[in-house]
Amino acid sequence: MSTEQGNTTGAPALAFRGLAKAYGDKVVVRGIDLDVPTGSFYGLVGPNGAGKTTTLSMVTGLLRPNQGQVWIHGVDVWADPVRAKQLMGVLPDGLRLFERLSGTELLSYLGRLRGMPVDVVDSRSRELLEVLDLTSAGDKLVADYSTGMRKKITLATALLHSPPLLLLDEPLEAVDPVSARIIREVLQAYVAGGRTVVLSSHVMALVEDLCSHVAVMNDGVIVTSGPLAQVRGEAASLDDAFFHIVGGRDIGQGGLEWLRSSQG
Amino acid sequence: MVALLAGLKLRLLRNRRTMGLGVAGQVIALLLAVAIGALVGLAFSLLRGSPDTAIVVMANVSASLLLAWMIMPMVAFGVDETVDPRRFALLPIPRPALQRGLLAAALVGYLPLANLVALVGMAVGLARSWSMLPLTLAAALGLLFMCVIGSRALAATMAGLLGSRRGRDLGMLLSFALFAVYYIFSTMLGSQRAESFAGGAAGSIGRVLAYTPPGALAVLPSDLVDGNWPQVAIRGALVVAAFAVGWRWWGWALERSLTTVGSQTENSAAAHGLIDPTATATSLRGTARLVLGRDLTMMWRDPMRRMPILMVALVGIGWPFVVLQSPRAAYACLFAAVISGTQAAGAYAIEGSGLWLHLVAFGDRMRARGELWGHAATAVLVGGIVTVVSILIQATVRHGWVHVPAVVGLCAAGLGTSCAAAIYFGARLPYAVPQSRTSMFASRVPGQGGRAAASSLGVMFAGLIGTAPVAVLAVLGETVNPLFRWVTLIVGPIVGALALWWGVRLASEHYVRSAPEIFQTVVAGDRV
Repeated sequence: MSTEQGNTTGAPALAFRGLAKAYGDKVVVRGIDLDVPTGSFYGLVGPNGAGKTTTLSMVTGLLRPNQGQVWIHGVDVWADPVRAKQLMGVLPDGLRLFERLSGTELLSYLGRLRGMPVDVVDSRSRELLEVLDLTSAGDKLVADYSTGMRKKITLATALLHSPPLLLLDEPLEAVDPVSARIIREVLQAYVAGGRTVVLSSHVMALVEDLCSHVAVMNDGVIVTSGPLAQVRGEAASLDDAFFHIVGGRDIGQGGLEWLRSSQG
Repeated sequence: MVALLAGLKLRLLRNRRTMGLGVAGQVIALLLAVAIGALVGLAFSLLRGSPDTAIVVMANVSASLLLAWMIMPMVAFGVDETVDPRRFALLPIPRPALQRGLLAAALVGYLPLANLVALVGMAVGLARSWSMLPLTLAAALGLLFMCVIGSRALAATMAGLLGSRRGRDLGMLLSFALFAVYYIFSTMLGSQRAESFAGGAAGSIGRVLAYTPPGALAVLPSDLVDGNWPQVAIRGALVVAAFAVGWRWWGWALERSLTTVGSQTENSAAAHGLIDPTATATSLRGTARLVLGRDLTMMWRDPMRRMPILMVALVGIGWPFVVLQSPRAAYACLFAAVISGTQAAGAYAIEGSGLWLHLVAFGDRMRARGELWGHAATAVLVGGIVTVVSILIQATVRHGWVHVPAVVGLCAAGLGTSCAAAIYFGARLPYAVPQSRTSMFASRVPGQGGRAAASSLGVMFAGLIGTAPVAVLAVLGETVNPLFRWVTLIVGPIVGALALWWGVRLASEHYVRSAPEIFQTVVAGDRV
């Protein structure tokens, strides 16, 4: 794939080649390739420390890779960041927001920072807050939001400019069931409109339920990727398939005998 | 439990990267604590020659020490992990055992050590004879225990509040109030009036404080030796009652904090923000207006951003009163201008990982420049107000209106160049600002101390060098020809504006090229 893939027609929603990142001697991502088809709901799964967040950070322009290239709808993220940023919405995991703005102010500020007209920002913000059940919390400071509310307002900031690709890092981590359901419905509606979602998670049931495609990462490498059914193969569930792909070890009957004892 | 929790505290101290130097840093901190305690103790012990003065002074000191210990958790909650009793809520430890263990843990650390050494000096100062020393030593030790019990009881009572955003805000404001009181008091001490205050009012206050529990502890050995039994009975009862009430209060507060879980979210209604409702980032001016409004809004609402401005205002307005007592005192307002300008430093760092919101929203030069102009405008607007107020006060009080044109020019240059330097180094040599805000004393991120120092020095020297040519004009105005004062008024703002233009341009170019690297540096602030 060349650097000059300015034409978005026919290009994958997201593609990367030879993406690698190391911190000193510690290699975190080892030259990975992936194509994410437009209109897919793509799950990036892997155990803790597999390199999912590092990969998404490099894809979203928050972390410069040591090697490799990333294209969003054919636009090179690192060669043409201005265009690439217009094409993606991002929900990172564990990063702060502008805590002393209210939810409404945050959306309004970020929309206008993207150069969107004030009336468009206002109407979209109102609608997003309503759909995400945040209307009553719109005037509350983000610093006082619960985890679920923070995920929802971050999702709203990612959707505000109506990008064709959403990149979400653990979007449902520590989110209450009500908020999780709302987020899932919003994402499903988004993909139904022909757009693309890439989400990272280590919750297999969530990925199996939502995603059409999946890539399994382990130790900085994409072990396997493709349509969900193909990756799952003969296994009873994605969870089982994942367990065997990443080489998980059953506890079986050995060890922790004291836990099976009736005495505390 | 006593040994276990004291050991835990020791382990926590050992794991802390003091001054970023590991074991060496801990040894330095230990020696520093002993040295500071010894210096203070030496000063106390010198009062041994004048027993009457010693008693009055020690009554004041004892009461102040207790007050300081009780305030400390509010301004430094989170610095000592054993202060928050809720951390032990899930452990099956009986409350009385936990209380004894926490008491032992509270006595372990640099601060208690420095206190102990200083209190030994206090005991020496209070002992009129060597045979009296065991009594004064016991009183000093009792005072340390009283301080710890009072401090921990209050911290346990307020644990829920102190762990919340509002509690942290309160701590920050209290820190500022303490700083302001200290600053005003130390400024007063330099004047004639302070001496008469120390001699008169402090003596009266000391005699009253001798009937408070900490003051009574300081005076009690002297009463015992003099056989002043009614006073011994009164003060002894006060001390015993204070220990009994303090211990029970702490026990009650511990019980409550171990069994009560506060809400994870808080109710808040954001006050009307200052973001211009019509500003959009479609132009340089629009971006700057948008960012200026956001900065002012967050400065108004966030004590972490507001506190430096309040300190700048206090020091900037107070400083000229200290350094110059002549009609030229207004020149000292340059200090206010320069430190105001430096407030633009860390424009990226202060966002912590929140900077990602800007990073994913734009990557073009125009908005990068507009953002920095917004940050610069915030520093110049607020700093300009502080500087003008300071100049007006000095010109009025010292009758120095004739110097005002040159002072205004000089301050405009100082404000502009220091702000430009701060903006430039904020991008070129960024460093993380701690975001946890569990303590306003957590000001550095481990491993970035050298970078922070280099950046601060760069800002200082670049600001001074930039202001120097205008300072020469001002000196000419005072020594050669008064006309130069008016030249300074015209040239100063031009120099300041040019420096800003240049600083913003260079910094924004660097941001466009290196935004991910800046982000990865400042994001470390989230971990502190």
